[in-house]
Amino acid sequence: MSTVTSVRSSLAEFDERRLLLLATFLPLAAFFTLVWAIPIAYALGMSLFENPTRAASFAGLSNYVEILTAEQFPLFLWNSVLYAVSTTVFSLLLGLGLALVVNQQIRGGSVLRTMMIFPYLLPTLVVIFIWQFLFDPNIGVVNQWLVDFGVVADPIAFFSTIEWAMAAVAVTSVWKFGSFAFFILLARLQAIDPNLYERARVEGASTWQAFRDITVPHLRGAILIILLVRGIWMFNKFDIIYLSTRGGPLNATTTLPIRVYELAFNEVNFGAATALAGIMFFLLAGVAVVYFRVFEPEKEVTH
Amino acid sequence: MARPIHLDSVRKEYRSAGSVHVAVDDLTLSIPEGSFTTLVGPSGCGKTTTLRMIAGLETPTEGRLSFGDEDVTGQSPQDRNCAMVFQSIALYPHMTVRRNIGYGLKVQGVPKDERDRRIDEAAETLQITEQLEKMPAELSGGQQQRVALGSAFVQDPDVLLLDEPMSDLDAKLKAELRVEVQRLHQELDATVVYVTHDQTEAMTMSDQVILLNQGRLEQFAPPGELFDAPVSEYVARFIGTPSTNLLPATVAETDDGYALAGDGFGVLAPADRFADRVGDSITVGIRPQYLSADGGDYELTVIAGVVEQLGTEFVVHGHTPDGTDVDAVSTAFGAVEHGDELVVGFDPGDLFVFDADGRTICHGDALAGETPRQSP
Repeated sequence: MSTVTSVRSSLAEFDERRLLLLATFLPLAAFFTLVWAIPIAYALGMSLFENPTRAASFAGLSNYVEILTAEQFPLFLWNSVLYAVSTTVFSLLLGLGLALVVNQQIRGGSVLRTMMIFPYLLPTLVVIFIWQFLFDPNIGVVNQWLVDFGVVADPIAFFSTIEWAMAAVAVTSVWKFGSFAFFILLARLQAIDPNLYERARVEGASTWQAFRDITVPHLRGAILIILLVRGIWMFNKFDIIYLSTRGGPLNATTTLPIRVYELAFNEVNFGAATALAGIMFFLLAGVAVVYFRVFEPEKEVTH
Repeated sequence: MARPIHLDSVRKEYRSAGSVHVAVDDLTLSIPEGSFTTLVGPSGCGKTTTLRMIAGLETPTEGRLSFGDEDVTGQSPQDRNCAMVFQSIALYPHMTVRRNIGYGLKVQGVPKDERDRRIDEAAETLQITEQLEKMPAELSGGQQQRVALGSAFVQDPDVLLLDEPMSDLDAKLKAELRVEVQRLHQELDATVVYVTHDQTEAMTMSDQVILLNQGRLEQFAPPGELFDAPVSEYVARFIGTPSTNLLPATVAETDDGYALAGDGFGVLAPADRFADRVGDSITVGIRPQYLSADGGDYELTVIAGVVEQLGTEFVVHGHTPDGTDVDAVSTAFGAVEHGDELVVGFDPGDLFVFDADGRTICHGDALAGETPRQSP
């Protein structure tokens, strides 16, 4: 009798737990299916059709072939990689440098820390206006300095010169997104036990050795996560580039996301646009797999 | 090579937002080479600041600091051959125990073979050989402390500084590591300076003790002298557990000569020290261990409050009829209960006498000669 009750009660308990699990899991699964799996599958499906929004006809991988063999595809891919890598690396270096400065208890450090949030808070459009104004060939202060100090003979229209457009967009982006790395790295720096540095000094380590052997290992995880998420975001970045140069001049700043937009809305070729989006997706997925294999970001410093 | 440490009128102040906080004030002392010296005092008395100045992590505001003949006042910590064990232990969390211990040697450019040999030797001494390839997070508190000692040990420092290294450990581990630290001192040719707020550690481990009071030197003496001949009420109160009892008294002139008159006692006092103090308020100090249940030249009435058992001894926390707190320690107090009235005896030889400012007028040996006439 008692065995029966205990079996029954354990069964009831089991059911209760399973119910709870289901109740919490189902909404999540439904949500992800609705906003994640279906749109992705739909977009990838679209990429297999010719003219998918009107008279759809199955085209297999011909959209992909068309994109990959297009004459300018290597340029767009190169632009994307150049933009993503340079802005990620330089915003990381900018954030790291400033975080190291603010982490030293210098006068005005807290003011600088507060000011660092502004670029991130400012709307992209305002940031672009600021930099277009600074880089303006007629009234921009940057050109004025360059001419005054004799670096260049004539002012440069940075945003509309083939050689400089990408650099100008990258500088604008780095200025805006440097604070992202700054705040993550500063938080990490402040979590390091100051006694470690004191011990290192007593043991004879120079400032550089202490930085290399204590600071860098502690920041490793944070740097890797910044590289990953910032890299993905910058690879997919559309607004800051499109709003400042529209991909020009002469495609000098046309990255893959901008090409997707052009294909979809200027050339009304949704098949090719979704195929290119699919290619970007697989590229990023490939990079992410390599990233997790090589860097093992989960190997954080443990306390 | 152990080196003596000289501090000459060292002062350290911290300025913040217009206010000046003096952490260490006019500290002058010489720590003999190769000795084990403990810096002791309550929190905020400047002992850690003093240690950090010796390490070079803080620069004195005024004064001079030298190791032997070498002035190190402005020298950076990298240039002094010191090793330091921090209160927070401060092991590099991302390095194995082996790399932790060897880090100092590595940055000093010691070749790997030599490094490994010295690490193995230190690990052997501290019984952490099995832990060498582990990460610090995998170790227990006591093992971490041994690793920290090991990394100080391998550097073969002139000066070994320990900043409350055992404050986070339990009593048993403390006792174990106390022995370990002393063994290291014997094996190393180094001057050891040890900071603690625990006077038991100070008394048991050191050749001499520096007792600080609000940044000033109170007494610098071997532990026994600190216990038997405190220079002030502060020292008498700080050293020894339970604390020295302080009984208010006045200097009175009687038919027998001079006496220290308190609540229920009148201790005869020598004329040469007390003749010009008649009428002064003084304080008589007596250690709880010297209040005995039977005998003694003088007597004191104590009303028992709380009674604690410490192994074979009992500590009675009570007060005199006029309300002065008195503790007494003896094996004979087992039957005492709350509210009991006890009569405890003491000998003049065990007393300390302090003036109104807390400075010592004399110790018991000066009083012991004056035997009261009525006693047998």
